[in-house]
Amino acid sequence: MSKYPGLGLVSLYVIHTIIFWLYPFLWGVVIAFKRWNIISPDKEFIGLSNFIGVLYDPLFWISFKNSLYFMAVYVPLSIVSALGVALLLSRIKFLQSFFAVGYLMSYISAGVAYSIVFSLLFSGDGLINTWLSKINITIPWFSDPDIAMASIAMIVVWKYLGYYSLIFLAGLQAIPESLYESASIDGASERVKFFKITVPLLNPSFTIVLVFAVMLSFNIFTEPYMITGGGPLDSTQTFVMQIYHQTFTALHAGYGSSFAIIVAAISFLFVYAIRKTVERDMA
Amino acid sequence: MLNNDAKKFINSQDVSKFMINRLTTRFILITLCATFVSCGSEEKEAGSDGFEYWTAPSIELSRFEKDVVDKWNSTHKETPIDWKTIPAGTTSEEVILTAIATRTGPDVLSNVFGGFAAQLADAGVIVALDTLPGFWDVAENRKMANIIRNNWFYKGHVYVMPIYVNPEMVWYNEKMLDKFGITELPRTYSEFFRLLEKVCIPNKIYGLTADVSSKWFRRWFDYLTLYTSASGGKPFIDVDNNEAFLDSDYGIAVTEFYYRLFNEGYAPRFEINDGFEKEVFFAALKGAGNIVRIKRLYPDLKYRIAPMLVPDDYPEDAPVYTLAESKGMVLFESSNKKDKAWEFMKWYFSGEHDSLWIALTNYLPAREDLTSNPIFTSYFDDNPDAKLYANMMDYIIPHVLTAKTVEIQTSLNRELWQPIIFGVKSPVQASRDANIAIQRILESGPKVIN
Repeated sequence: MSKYPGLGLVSLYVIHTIIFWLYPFLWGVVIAFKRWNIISPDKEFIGLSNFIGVLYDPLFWISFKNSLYFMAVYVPLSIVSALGVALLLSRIKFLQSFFAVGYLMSYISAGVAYSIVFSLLFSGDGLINTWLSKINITIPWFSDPDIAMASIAMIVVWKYLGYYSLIFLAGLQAIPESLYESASIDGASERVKFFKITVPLLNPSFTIVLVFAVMLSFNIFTEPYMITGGGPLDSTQTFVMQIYHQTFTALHAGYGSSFAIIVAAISFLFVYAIRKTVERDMA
Repeated sequence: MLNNDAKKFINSQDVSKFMINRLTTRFILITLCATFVSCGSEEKEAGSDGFEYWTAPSIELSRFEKDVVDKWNSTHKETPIDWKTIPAGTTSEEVILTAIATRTGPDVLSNVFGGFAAQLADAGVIVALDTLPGFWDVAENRKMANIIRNNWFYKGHVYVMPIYVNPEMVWYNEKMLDKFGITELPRTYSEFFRLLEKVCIPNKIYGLTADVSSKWFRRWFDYLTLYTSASGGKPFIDVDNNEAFLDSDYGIAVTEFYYRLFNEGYAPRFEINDGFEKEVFFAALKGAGNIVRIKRLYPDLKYRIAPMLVPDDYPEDAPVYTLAESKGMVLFESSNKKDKAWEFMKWYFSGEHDSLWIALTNYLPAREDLTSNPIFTSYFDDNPDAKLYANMMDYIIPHVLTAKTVEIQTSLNRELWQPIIFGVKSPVQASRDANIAIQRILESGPKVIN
C-alpha cells in the first residue's frame, strides 16, 4: 500500500506544528536577543540585555512569589478535590459517564466568560457577599491582597476539577479488582486498602496531575487578567500577564520574549524535579 | 484460490486505498485553490480604487460613521470606502497593532488616543498630517487650529486629527443634596470632606467613586483628572525635558485627598458596578459621554454637575481646569491610497458633519466654537447638561502625548495608586516614589533594564 495517504494525513499535524509552534518558538528565541517594538521594521541586536533586565525586574520576582503562592493553594486543593470526585465517580454504577462529563463542563467553559461570572458573584456587592452580609460577614475575595490569589486559585480548581478527576478515574479503573479482594481476604480495612493499594498504584495519575497543575501555576493568565488585573498591590501579578503586558501593551517584544524563555526554563526545572521525586516505575 | 470473504477483503482494501488517494488529491487541490483564490482577492483589493477605514466598535459611533461613509460613497463613487469597525479584542490598540504587524491594517483609522498615536509615530507607521496640503485650512475651517497647536504637536509634527473630547466633571446625587439641605456645591477638598461627614454612612453610602483596579488607563479618570485641576491645567510630566511633577505641592495634595478618601472609608477598596447610578455614592467623576447612557439606564437618577474639586489653597478667582479623553483620526504610511484617503479626511473634518456627530454620539466635537456656533444651538438647548461640559472647552486639557503612556501609568498604579488605596505608603512617600519611577521611565530609552 502506498505510504503517501498516510503521510498526507500526518502532514496536517506537521504543518500545524511548524506554523503555530516551531516557527513562533524560534522567532521568540531570535527576538529575545533584540530590541523590537513589534510595529517597527528595526530590530537592534542587544545580546543578553533583555535577559539581564528580566532578572532585575521587581515584577519578575513578584510574579514568581505569586506563582509559588498560587501553587501552594492550587496543587493540594486540586489533587484532593479531584481524587475525591474520582473516588465518588468510581463507586457510581449507573450513569457514571454522564456525571463524569458533567464535571468536565467547567473545563470546556470559556475562560473569559466564567471569569466575568465569578468576578460578579464574588465582588464586594456581589451575590455571595449579599448572602454573607445576612450573617454580618463580608469577604473581600478579590480586593484583599492577602487572599486575592487564593480566591483565584479556587476558581481554577473548579475549572480543572473534572479534567483531573477523569485522569484519576482512569487510574482507579486500571487497578485490578483482585488486589482489593485479596486485601479484603487478608482482613485489610478500607483505610489500609486506600493507602497501601490505591495511592501507590495511582502514582502515574498523581504524576500527570501534579505536572499539569505545576505547569499551570506558571501559566495562569485569563482569571487574574480578567478579574483583578494583577492587583490589589500586585498580589495577583503572574508571569504570563507580565509577558503579555510587556509584549502587546508596552510593545517590548524582545523583553517579553526573554521573559517567556526564562519562565519556560523555570517551569521545566520544576516539572523535571517533580518527575524525579514523585514518579515511580509501575511496570 | 481465494474464497469470497478474502476477495471482498481485497476489494474493500482497494476501495479504501482508492478513496484515501482521492481524498488526499482533493485536499491538495482544495488547498491550492484556496491559496490561489486568496492571492487573487489580495490582488483585486490592491487594484481597487477604494481604501479601508476602521472606526471604534461602539453602537453610537457606528451610527454616525455609517451615515458619513454612505454619504461619501454616494458622492465619491470612484473612491469607495471599505468601512469596518475595529475587530473585537482586549483593547482596540492591541488589535490594531496586530493588524499593522500582519500588514492587514486600514488606510485610515479613527478613535486613536494621543499616547497610542505617539507610539505609532515613533515607529514611523503614521503620516505627519501637517505636511499634507491643506492641513491648516482644514484646522482653521473646523475651528480646531488652537486645539491642535496647544495639544496635538508631537516631536514637531501633528499626527492626529482630533475628533472629539470627553472632559470630566463632578456629579452629585441630588436626592442626597436635598436630604441634607446642601444648596452650595463644594469647591475645595475640605469643603467636600465636610459634606461627606454629613452624607456618608459607613459601608453603606460612600463619598466619591474611585476605580480600585490596576488598569493603567483608569488613572486618567481619577488621579490625573484631579491632578490637572489642582495644578491649574499643568501636565504631570514634561516629555521634552524628561521631568515628572507628582511630588509637587499640588501632586501631594491630590494624593492626600485620595489617601483620606480610601482610608477614612469614604471610598470602598472594592469595585461597585454603577455605584453612583445605584445611589451608593454621593459623588462621581464623569465625562459628558455618560449623560445619555444614564438617562437611558437610570431615568430616575437626579444629579447636579459641577467643576472639579481643587485643593484648599487654590485661588478662588482662577479657572478650574479638567482632563479630557480625546481621540482622533490617523493616516497610515502603508496606505497606497494616501491622496484619496487624505481627501476623505479633509471632507470628514470640513465641519458639516459635527452637528450630526454630536446628535448621534453625544461626544463633544474637538472645536473651539461649540457654544457660539449656531449648528449646535438646538442640541445644547435639548441637552443642558452637555452644555455645562461645552462651557468648559477653554479649560480642557487632553492627555499628555507620550509613547510611554502605558509604562508611566502602570508605574503610577504600582507606586502611588495601589499603595494609597491600602494605606501602605504615606501620601508624600507615594508621590515621591511615583515621581522617581516615572522620571526614570522618561529618561530611559526603550526598555531593556528596569
